[in-house]
Amino acid sequence: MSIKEAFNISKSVWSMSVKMARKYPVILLPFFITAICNALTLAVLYYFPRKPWSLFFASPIRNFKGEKFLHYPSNFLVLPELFYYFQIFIMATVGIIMFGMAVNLIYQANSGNVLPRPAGSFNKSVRRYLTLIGIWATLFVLSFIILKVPAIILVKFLGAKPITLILLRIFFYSGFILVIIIEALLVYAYPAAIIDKKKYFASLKNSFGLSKRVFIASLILVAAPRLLEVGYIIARGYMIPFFVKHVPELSVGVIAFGIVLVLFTDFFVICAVTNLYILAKETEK
Amino acid sequence: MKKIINNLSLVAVAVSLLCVTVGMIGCGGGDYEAEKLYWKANKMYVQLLKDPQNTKPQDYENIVVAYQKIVFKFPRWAFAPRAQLTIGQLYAMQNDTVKAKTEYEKVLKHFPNDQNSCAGALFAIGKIYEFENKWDKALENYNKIVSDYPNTYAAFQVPLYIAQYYKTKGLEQKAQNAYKDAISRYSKVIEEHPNTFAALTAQNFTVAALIEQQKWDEVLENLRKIADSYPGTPVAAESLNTMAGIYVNQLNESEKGAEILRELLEKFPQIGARELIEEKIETLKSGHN
Repeated sequence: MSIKEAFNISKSVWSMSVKMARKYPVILLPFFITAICNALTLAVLYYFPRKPWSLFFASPIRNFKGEKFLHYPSNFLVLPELFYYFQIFIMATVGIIMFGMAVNLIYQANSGNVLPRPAGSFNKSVRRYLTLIGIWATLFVLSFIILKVPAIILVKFLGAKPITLILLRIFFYSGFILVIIIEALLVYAYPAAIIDKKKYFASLKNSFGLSKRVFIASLILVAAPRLLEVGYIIARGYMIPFFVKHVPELSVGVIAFGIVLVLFTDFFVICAVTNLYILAKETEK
Repeated sequence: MKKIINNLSLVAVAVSLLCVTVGMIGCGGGDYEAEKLYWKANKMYVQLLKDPQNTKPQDYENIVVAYQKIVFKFPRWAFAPRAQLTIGQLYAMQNDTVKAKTEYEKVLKHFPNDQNSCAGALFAIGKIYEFENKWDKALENYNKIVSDYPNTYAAFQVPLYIAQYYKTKGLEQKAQNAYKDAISRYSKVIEEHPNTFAALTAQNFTVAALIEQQKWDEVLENLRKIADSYPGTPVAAESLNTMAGIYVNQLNESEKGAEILRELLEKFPQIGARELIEEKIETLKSGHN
């Protein structure tokens, strides 16, 4: 497949996804539910230095980060990291079920005969939870190893030197690219698990097989939204310390923007890959 | 029917969780709110300090109100005394000594348990009396710091401050007596509380008093005591460094200064400024030669 063909396929799939969302807005419901869970979590975490939440959070934050981060405005510096850990929990519970629900809704929307049914899709996703969580955990663990482990090794063996900073940056950016490639290879496992009810290993194998055939298109479909997220994460790294110095509460706005961004990037990734999966299946027939 | 009940139960659980969460979010406040207000007030204060001459009286008043809000709403908060002190400082900066004194006295009245803030308030009131050329009243306040709040840092500063005052006024005899009293007080602390932070503070102030009197032999003796009493600590390194500086700059004994610097490098091989110190030793050696 040439790059031009891959771009054309990606454009068509995105266009199809947007039209589908306009025709069946219920497809966006799972992503909204995840975003609401994230938003509620953020709302609670915003109050972590105050009672009653400080009863739970004070001790671990004091031990791992320091007393300073329990007080205004330094608490906003630790808020993104705290939110990140809770986001992982939400993703592993609600989020992954919502992914499955979204895949089924998109499948039903594609069939044209049946109106997408949220309740039924939710039930189907719950029944496939173990497979879905296995797929998500595989992606998560691989991302974690690629992004975090080199940094730990570099700091341990090289220490705090200028070369360490340069190497950390190189590993950081190349790590992100590698993570996007891996997601492009394995992302079709979600539709395989829901639509074709494949088990964990079969889903991964199926995804790998399909992705090889349309690798560049898959890469574009995954990379474009995820690079937006990467850009946001980098910008957030600068914006939050700036806001903490001047208007600390705006840090929450920055994190909230991230929740909205992820709502749309997840929609584009899941909707696009599911549509491409369905197209590929029909082509095979 | 069962399905409807299940769905309703799920919705009920979700709504309850939401209500509990939102309800709990409404709780709290207290110290965190105080910190927030304090940070905002401090930000305005820092902005004012950049250009106090060109700050309008209304801006001063706004900042005073911001700190007053903290003291009024959170009187039991740990930093409320400091907020009250800052109110006094704001009036003092506007040369409104009457209001400044009133606000400083509030620290003594409302926060008697905060020793540091009370000592700070007494010192500030003393400075106002000095400004009004009422040295006797100022001295009374300064002595009150030493008698009523002996464990505060201000109580260590005051004896030396009094001696410095007499010195700047050209009252040599009074200055010498004040230095003698200061050193005597510091020696008492060192004797009564050996190997404590108070003893170390007293030793440092003793050195400062002797430096002001240019009694270099005694300065060196005391610095050596500090270096020997706290081996391996940054305090010891600083003492040795100061000793070297005195030998070189005050007593013109470059070789002795170089010897002390070599001792410093020997006892503190991981010291950050190693290269600079080695360079200094070379300079001193070549200068001596």
